[in-house]
Amino acid sequence: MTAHGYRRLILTLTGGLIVAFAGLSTGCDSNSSRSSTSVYAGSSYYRGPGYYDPWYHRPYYGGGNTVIVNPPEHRPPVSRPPVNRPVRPAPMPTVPARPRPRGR
Amino acid sequence: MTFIVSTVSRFLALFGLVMAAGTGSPLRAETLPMLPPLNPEPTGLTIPGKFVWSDLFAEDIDGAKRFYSSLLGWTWRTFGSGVDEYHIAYTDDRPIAGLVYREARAESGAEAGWIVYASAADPGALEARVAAAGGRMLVSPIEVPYRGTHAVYRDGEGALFGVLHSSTGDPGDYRAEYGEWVWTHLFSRDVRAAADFYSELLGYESLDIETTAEPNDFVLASGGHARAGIGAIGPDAPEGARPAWVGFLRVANVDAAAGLVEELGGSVLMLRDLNTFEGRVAVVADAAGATFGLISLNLEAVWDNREERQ
Repeated sequence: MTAHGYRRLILTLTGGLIVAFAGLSTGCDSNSSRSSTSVYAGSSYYRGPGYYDPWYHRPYYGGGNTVIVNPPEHRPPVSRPPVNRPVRPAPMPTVPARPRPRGR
Repeated sequence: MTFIVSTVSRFLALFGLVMAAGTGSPLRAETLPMLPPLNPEPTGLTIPGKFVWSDLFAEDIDGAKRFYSSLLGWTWRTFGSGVDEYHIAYTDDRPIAGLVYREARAESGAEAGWIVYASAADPGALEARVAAAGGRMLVSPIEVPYRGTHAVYRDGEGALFGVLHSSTGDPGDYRAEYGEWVWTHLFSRDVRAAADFYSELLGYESLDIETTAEPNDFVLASGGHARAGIGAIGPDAPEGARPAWVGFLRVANVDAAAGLVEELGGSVLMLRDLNTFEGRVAVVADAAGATFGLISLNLEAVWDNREERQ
């Protein structure tokens, strides 16, 4: 291995340790701050799975297993019609149409 | 009766006559003679808000009789005598309407006018509520033996209406035959307020008609049937138009009847198709200016298709 190769290896390992440490310490931060939705990992923020993540575009990126994303445990409330909406007879009442009995 | 409400509301040229006929009438109901009951036998029915009677106030009694007999085939019987005479129109031996002498007043713009009566348990008990809404009682409750108790009011907008508690109960809900009243309509400047007022006063269920292009129209229902409609006096109404109740009679052919109205000296104020029931509708004035409506409806087809029939 040449000197250039060693320097390149050291830089790579150092960078990896820095990233690993940064991730570890950030994980501690994450545990102490559960409300945070983003994770700092080096020079970028991880914002959770999103539209631009590659597993949403597997055919484009090619290969890989099928990614199954489970729905969140707590779903947003579903909008429903108001409970106290006015009650309308169905169908709309009309004038009397019953034939009159004979003799009345 | 959605179609009637939305249709009639578009034609307000009639108001010059309708409203004039309903103002300042010196009703002489205190002197009415003994009258026959509404029903030949007690029905045991109480249908609050059902329109059960109509009175025509006119100066020319004989002229009115000729007009309506020629138009609708009504026959007449007279009760009482002199100025207290009360005339009742019949079709097939069923009483349809009353006719009372009323001196024509030039300031009213019409010589005659109709007043419709809705069923109410206690006609006199409505006075406070009518007054609270800006109206007033025109004729205090009068008990007529065998017939019942009636009163006449003017609502907060000026529309006249009567209430009647029949001694023999309310007439049953049967199909209106030709020559009989089939619908009643209120022309109002504030339809929502009017719907609330009459619903509270007479126990109607007020139904906003959302399926038509006129969302401000209402149907007043009680006992499972539509009893009346409320339509707005639009901006195109003639000057001087005022709120009023108008009764509609069922006829076989509206166009023919409207033509006959003109031959008899009356006038046709509106004539057009209805959206449903294969019907036509007209608003006309008799020879003395009393305004009423004519409707042709295929109620037989309605009955044939109704769940009620089962």
